[in-house]
Parts: sequence; structure tokens; C-alpha cells
Amino acid sequence: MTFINGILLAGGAAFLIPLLIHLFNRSKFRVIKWGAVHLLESVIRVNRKRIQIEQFILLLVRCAIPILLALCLARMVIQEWNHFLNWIILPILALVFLIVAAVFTKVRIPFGLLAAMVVAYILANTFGGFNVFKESIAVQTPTGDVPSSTIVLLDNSYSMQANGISQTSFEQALTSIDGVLEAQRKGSDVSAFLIVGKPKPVFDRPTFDREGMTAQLQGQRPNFQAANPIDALNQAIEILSDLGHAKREILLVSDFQKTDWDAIPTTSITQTAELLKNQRVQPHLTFLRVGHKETENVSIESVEYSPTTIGAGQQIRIRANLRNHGDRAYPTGLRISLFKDGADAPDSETEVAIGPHESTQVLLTCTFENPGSHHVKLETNSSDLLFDNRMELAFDVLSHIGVLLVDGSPSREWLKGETDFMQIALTPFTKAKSELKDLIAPTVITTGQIDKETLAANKVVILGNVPTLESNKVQLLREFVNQGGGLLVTAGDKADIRWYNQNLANKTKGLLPMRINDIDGALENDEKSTRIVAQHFEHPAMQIFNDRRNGNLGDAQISMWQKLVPANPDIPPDSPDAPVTLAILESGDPLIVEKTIGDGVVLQFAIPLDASWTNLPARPAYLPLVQQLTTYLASRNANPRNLTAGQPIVAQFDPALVGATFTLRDPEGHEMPIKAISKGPASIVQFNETDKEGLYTLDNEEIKDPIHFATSSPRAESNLKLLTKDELQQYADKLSAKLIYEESTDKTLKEYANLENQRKHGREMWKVLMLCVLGFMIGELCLQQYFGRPKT
Amino acid sequence: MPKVTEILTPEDLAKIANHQMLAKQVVEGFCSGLHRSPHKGFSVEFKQHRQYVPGDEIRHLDWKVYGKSDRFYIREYEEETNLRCNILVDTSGSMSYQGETAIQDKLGYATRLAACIAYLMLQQVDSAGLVTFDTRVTKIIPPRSRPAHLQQMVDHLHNVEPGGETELGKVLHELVPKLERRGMVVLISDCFGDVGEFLKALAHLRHARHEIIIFQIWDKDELDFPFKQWTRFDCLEEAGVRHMIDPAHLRASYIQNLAKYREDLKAGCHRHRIDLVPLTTDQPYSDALSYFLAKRKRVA
Repeated sequence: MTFINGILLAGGAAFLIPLLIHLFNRSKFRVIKWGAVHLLESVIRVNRKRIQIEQFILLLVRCAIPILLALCLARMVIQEWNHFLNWIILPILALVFLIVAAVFTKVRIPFGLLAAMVVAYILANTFGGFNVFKESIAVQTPTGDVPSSTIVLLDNSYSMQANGISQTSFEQALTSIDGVLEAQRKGSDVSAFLIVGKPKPVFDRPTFDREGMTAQLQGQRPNFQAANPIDALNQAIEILSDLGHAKREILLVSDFQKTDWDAIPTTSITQTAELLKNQRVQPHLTFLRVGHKETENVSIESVEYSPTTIGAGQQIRIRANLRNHGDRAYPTGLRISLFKDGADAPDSETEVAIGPHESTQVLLTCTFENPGSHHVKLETNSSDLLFDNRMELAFDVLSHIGVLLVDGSPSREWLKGETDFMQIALTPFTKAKSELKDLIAPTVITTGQIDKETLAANKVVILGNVPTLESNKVQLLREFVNQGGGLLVTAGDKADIRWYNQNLANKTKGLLPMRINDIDGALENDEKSTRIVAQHFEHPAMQIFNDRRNGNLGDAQISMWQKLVPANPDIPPDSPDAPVTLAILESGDPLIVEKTIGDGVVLQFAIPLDASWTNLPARPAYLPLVQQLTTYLASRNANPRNLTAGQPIVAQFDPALVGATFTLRDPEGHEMPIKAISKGPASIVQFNETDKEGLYTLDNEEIKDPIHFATSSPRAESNLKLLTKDELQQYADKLSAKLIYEESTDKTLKEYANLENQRKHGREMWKVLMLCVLGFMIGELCLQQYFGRPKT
Repeated sequence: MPKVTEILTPEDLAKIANHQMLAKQVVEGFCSGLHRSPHKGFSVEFKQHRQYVPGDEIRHLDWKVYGKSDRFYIREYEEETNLRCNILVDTSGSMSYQGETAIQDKLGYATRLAACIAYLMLQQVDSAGLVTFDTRVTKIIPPRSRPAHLQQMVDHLHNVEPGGETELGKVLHELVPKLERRGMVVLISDCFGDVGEFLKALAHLRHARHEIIIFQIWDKDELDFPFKQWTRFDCLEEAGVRHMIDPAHLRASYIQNLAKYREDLKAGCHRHRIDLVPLTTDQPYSDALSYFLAKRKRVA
């Protein structure tokens, strides 16, 4: 015996009210000195016992009304008749016998005896274990006999688009769900969740509109994220208490991909099974498997591109990782095409060979001549599951990156100037007189030339061995960084350490993350030299050196270096404001340290970037290092264009556009308006619901060209291998679920009907209880009148 | 012309502590409305002499006759009234009941009514006597027609206290031999007790050729039984007799029982040609006096 609204059971305590009134009346009596006692005594003598019995009966009836009403409102659900019989029916029966005995004097004795026997049986059953019904009689309600509450958990992952016998798994799932819901009794309600990624309800609350629900489900598009059955089950369990009927069912409709279920920790399954077991009204969990036979599938798993900062006319290398999940080999004929800016014809394409269960990489290149927002689509011609055969990328193609090189030690001699090596590293194609175009446009100036206009025209400033700066220049640099600019400060023999420590490495307001403690090493003594630790780099600006093809930083010998210590040692290392070390020296001293100030960032080097203290400029790693750090500083503040599905899209605009309405078009072509809001010195447009994979386009009349964003998601569902019946049965057993594993929809529905007929649902008894309440209320009125009649 | 008693309600009269003054007010107010004066026609004097026998009181000797005839004659006076009326007032415990809305208890009403009747009788030169009783007779004031006699009765009525159990039958049986001559008996009581025994006693009285009128005094609560909440009824006559009941449940049965009791009493009185006049304590005394005068006329 359980209760849907258990808390309302407390209302049953209202039976105390008539009891207390009865006792209160008896205790708070009045005293009358009475003369006509002889008239009263004969009446009392005749009626005393009868009155006592009548008042006891009335008291019982009055107490029974609130108790039954509370049981009714708490929506009692019975699973076994025995308890209902013992605690509800028999006490009511005993009371009815008692009333009959009190009202009809001729049958007083038999009915009184019957009432006593019933009470004796209840007591014997309760305390003595005496029971006529040895076996508990379960309440049985066949399918369609009582209304039910069903929670449908529908797998809408893209693997459900795989073709089955005559339709896709998703279509088969919808047909099965419709058939199941159709068999339910009128008044049944249904809730539905899409179980991909973070489970999402289709409707905010349970609906009685079966057709509306089916239509809504049919409109669902496949999602690129993996199915998350356990989270969906947990969410369904959470809403169980809000359901309207005692007969409750959770229907998990999925293709039950092996990858999804193997990724679930055993503890999560155990916890969910416990949760299900602890429900007051036990729901029936059914695994309804909709299968597809197709297991062959080739997917584009991921795409990488370089460089990360792209200039107009610069070649972009796009590396696509392909995986063959099936047994079929593709020795030839598997083509991958690259489409630029939504063009119908491919910009480039190549054929690739791939064996069964193998993965391979394909390199494609493309170039955008014009700066602005661009996008590309990679697509294979694999004929299997189409949804993972393509992937989109979006790029912000820059015309150039302005870099200001402040030379602290200029020289007329070739390569003796402080910034000469850097200039070459930043413009390799120009220096090599190549046809290729350099993205970075460096300008060399002296310290005296730093002014507001010059800074505004550039994204990065590099201070090369600058001895000191005037205070107003320092202030200009501070504002430059605060507004999103990048500053790179290198060491050198000219740098005035005291001035640096006092003016730039100030404990609280300093631009530099580190103080210069000392200068270590010696130019003439190789034994005192050190090297860069060739570690695995976590920082995005340095990750390029994890691939040794881009050069080994550890090759460079460093003869002298600044010993850097934190400018503010009070900041704990795990604080977001703490300086980040990008690379260290074998001496244990930091080599490159980063500090974020406002929207910008500062990188501090412990060495100069010329050949005075180190042979690094002569090493292959020098060019990518300078290029990477410069583009990192220039683009760090730029919002990413290629996101993982679910990551928010953020675009930054001129502050004048605050309040302007932008239109965002999602991968399915739906357009939605978004208003730009103010954030810091700029206005931003933000969109969080990026759960669909593909290309998002943001547009507004005020901006020249639309801006593109591309989302991608893991290809976990691309492996179409499904759980076998035995494996699935094991999961079903763990969760006490029933499994329906049939090929066709008809067989599935037939099997489901059989299953339902075997199930024993609880039955809500509120109607019976309400009838009893009404009966007792009317009975109480009648009895009061009847018992108050003249008695002789 | 309205009667004074119509203007003076029992509530007003209840405030008059002095029974004589009350009786005067009531009776004169009542009589002033009658067409015939009660002061004429009833009183015819009659006297005779009879020879002295030993034992007669010396003070009744007619000394003038002795002077003339030298014989002892006793002067006998025919009583100056043509009616002897004994007023029997029940002072048992049950008479002390006073309902919540009542202006006075039943005994107060009874004693005032008795005073009124006595005054009326004496005004008519009838002789009136008073008997108070509860379990037994507590006081007998023999009937006299002297106006001063009224004071004696009124004084007693004023000081009478309720107490004891009603034993109407027994008391009336006891009284019969004490009421020396036939006359009129006015019984003012609630008549609680055994109806059969009571009727037997009344029959005994009737056998002694007394004309009887019973003023049965009720409190309205005793007739209506209006109580609702749980109540403990403590017996006024017998200490320790208590009944805790829910009166609402018993009201109908009580009313039925009461009706039966009254019907039995009424039928019994009718059988013995006794006038039974039920009165409630809020009823004007004039109602009772009207009944009384009507009876008086019939008796005369």
C-alpha cells in the first residue's frame, strides 16, 4: 500500500478533532441542579446503554471520515488486496455491522456478533498473524484497464538514423512509441525526454495529447552527441513523484549502442537501480530496442588546421581524421572533398584508402584571398550513415597582424640590432622574397616613438632589451594591454633591472608577472649555460612544440638569463591571477611567464630574442616560437570560431552596437534574433544553445559580412556496433527492466502487450475511498437524526 | 380599564419582597377590575348558646346569661365565613429550581401566589389557612377569617425555605384528618413524584369532601428541556443523585415522558373532579386568581 501524495496522509490526524470534541464536551460539562429528576431518570434508565453505543458509533463514523478523506487525498495505491482488506474494508464493514445492529433492534444480536467477529479477525490478523488468505492476492490491472503515466526516453542520437529493414531506427522507434501509447487507456499521460547529451524534456509537463506528442517527437532532428541513457533514467526518476497515475512506466527506446553503454560506470547503474527500487510507487522499466542491421560506417572523426591565426592569401592546412568503424575495406573510391564558403563544387578533394577498423589522416589545403569570416565543409562520399560524413570549420581571415617591435638596442650592423632576428622570424616569406604572403606586419620603432596612435594600429608590442621607459609610455602600454593588446618583454644587457623591478614588476600594479632577481650564467663559460626543458607543453601557444617536426626548443643553448621570481609572492599558485609559466630552463628558472591584465596579456622572457645571450635564433624552433607567441598574443582575445557543441558562441563588436539585434542562423536554417549587450569596452553577442553540430551564421546590417561559427561533437555514436541481446539483457537485469528485443515493429508491439498483461500494477483506490467518505457523511447525518429520536 | 396585574408583570412583582404588599397589590388590582364587589353577600352572622359541659373553655362562658339565669352557657359563634380554604404550599427541594432565563424559582412563585390567594380570601371574609410541607408537613396555620391572620401566613411564607423530598401522597394522607372541616383545598406544587400515589391522596381528600384546586408550578426549562451541551443533572431533593448526559440526545424522549406524565395527572384529576391548573413561573398571578375565583364561585 503506497501513496502518491504521501504528505497529505498527515490530514488523517484530523480524526482527532471529533475525538477531542467528544472528550472536551464530556470534560467541559455544565452542572444543573434539577428538580424533575423523576422525569429524567426513567428516560436515562431506558436509554443509557443504547445512548452510549450510539454515541460510540457516531464517534467512530466521525473519526473515520477524516481518515478516509486523508487516504483519498493522499491517493492510496494498493498492490495487494490483503492489506486493503484488513485495514480499510474490514474496519468499515465492522462499523457498518455495528450501525445495522444499533438501528435495527431485531437483528441486533447477529449483526453485533458479526461486528465483533470482524474486529477479532482484524486483531488476529494484525497481531497473531492469522490470515484466511495465505497467499497475498496481488492487484491486477491489465493494459488499458487503468490510465497510466508513461515516461518515454527516446534516443535521438545520429546513430538512430541508420537504416533498418525498411526504415531508420528512429522511424521504427516513433512507430513503436505511437503503438504503445495508443494501447493505453484514455486519460493516460505521457512525458518524453530526448536522451542525447543532457537529457531534454520534449514538453515541460506530462501531456494527455498522444498525437501531439508523436508529432513533436517526429519533428526531432538527430543530435550529434552521444546518448546518455543513465542520466535520462535518473531524470525520469526525478519526475516520477509528479506523475498523475499509479501505473507508471519508463520506456527507454534506443538502438542500445555498445559504446554508449560501455562508457557508463557500473556504480552509476547500481545507483540508478537503487533509486528505482526506492520509489514509493514502483515504475515498470522497459527497454524497447529498435535495431538496425547496418554496421558499416566511415566517419570524419575530427579536423585540425594550422596555422591557428590565418591571414588573407595564407595557405590553411586542414588535417581530417577518418575512421572506418566497419569490416569493409576501402582500398579506393573513398573520396573526401573540401567545399569553401558554401560552394556547391568542391575546392579540393582527394581519395583515400582505409582498411577495416582503421583510421587515417587526410591533408587538404585551401586559401582565402579576402580577409573576413569564411567557412569550409569537409565531406566524404561514404554511403553509410550520412550524419558523420561531414564536418564544418569557420575561420576569421585577417588582412595582417600589426606588431610593434620596440628596439632597445638598435644597430646599423646586420643582425646586431635587438629586433633583427625577430623581424626575420615574423616575416619569413617577405625576407625570402617568396610569393607567399606574411600575415604579420612588424614595425620597428624606438622607445621615444611609442604613442597612442602607433599602439592603436597594432595588436602586439614587443619590447626588445629596452633599458627604461618614460612613465607616460608605461601608462600607454598599460592601457594598450588592458584593452586587449599583447605585450612581449624580452631581457637583455641594456635592461635596467632596478627600473624594471620598480616600475614594471610592481607588486600590485605592475605590467610584468615576475621581478628580475639577478642575471645568471656567463657568455664565455659554456659550463654555466643552460637549456630549455623540452617538456610536454600544456599552454596553447607552446603546444606546437609537442610535435618535434616543428623544432626542438631544447636544442638551443642559453649562456645568460635573468633569474625571475614572482612579482607578487602573495598570490597563491592556483589563483586565476597567478602568473603562468609557459616554459622553464634546466636551471629551474622560468623562461617564459604569462600574466593577464584586463583583456590583454603580457609575456615575459628571461632571455633576449637575439643572439647576444643564446643561440636560439639560429635554431629551427626560433621561427615557430616567435610566430606562435606573436599570433597567440594577437589572437588570444579573439573569440573562438570553432567550438565543441554546447560551448557558447561569443562575438565581440564595436561598443556602438550595444542593443543592436543580430540574426543567428543555426545549422538547420532556423533564424533567431539576439541582442548585443555591453561588456567591458565592447559589445558582445552571446548564444549558448549550440547543441546542434554545424555552421552558425551571425549577421546584422551594421556589420560588413556575416560571421561564421562551426560546432563539432565527438563521434562516439559513429561506431554502429550494438549490444547483443545477452549483453542488453544483463543491463536490463541490473536495472530490473524488461527487455523487448524484436526486429519488426509489429512484433515489438505484440511483445509489449504480452509483457503488460503479465505485469501487476497497483490500483488507485481514491474513488472507493471517496464513496466511503460520502457514505459516512450522509450516514452520520442520518444516524444523528435517528439516534436523537424519542425513545421509549 | 386595565387591571393593575396586567401592568405589573410577575417580573415586577417578584421584586416586591414583602408578600403582603404584593398580595395587596395583586388582589386589589385584580378585584378592581371585577364587576361585582367581593365585600358583600358572603358573610352572614349566626350564634347560639349551649349548655356548659366540663372541659369547655371558661373564657367562652356567657357571663350575662349566667347573671340572668344562673346557668352556665357557652356562647357559640357561627363562623363569619361561608368558606374555609386551606392553602397547601409544597416547599420540597424540587420547588427551588430556577431556569437560566426564569425570573424567580418555583417556590418564590408558589409562596407569592399563596399570599395572593390568602389575601383575596380574607378580603372576601372567607377564612384562609396555610399548610407548608416537603417530606412532611412543616407548618399548619389553621384557617381564620381575621384580617390579622394574613400577617401570620405571610410571615411564614416569606421565611419558608426549600428542602426535602416531595412525598405528596403521604403528606396529603397525613393532612386529611387535620383539615377538620370540609372546605376548599388549594394545592400549590410541582406535583413531582409518583402519580398514582398522588392521585390516591387526592381521592382521599375528595372523600373528605374537600374541593380541590391544584396549581402546578413549572419552570419553562422543565417543559422545554432546552439544554444542548453535556450536562450533569444534580438532583435537588436527594443529594448524590447525579446524571451525566448529552441532553440533546434525550430531549425528545424527555418531552415524550413529560407529556405522558402530564396526561396521566390530568386524567386522574379529571376523574376526581379536581381542577389542575398548570402555571409557569413567568405567568401572571391573575391567571391563577381567575381560576381560583371561578372555582370559588362554583363551590359557593
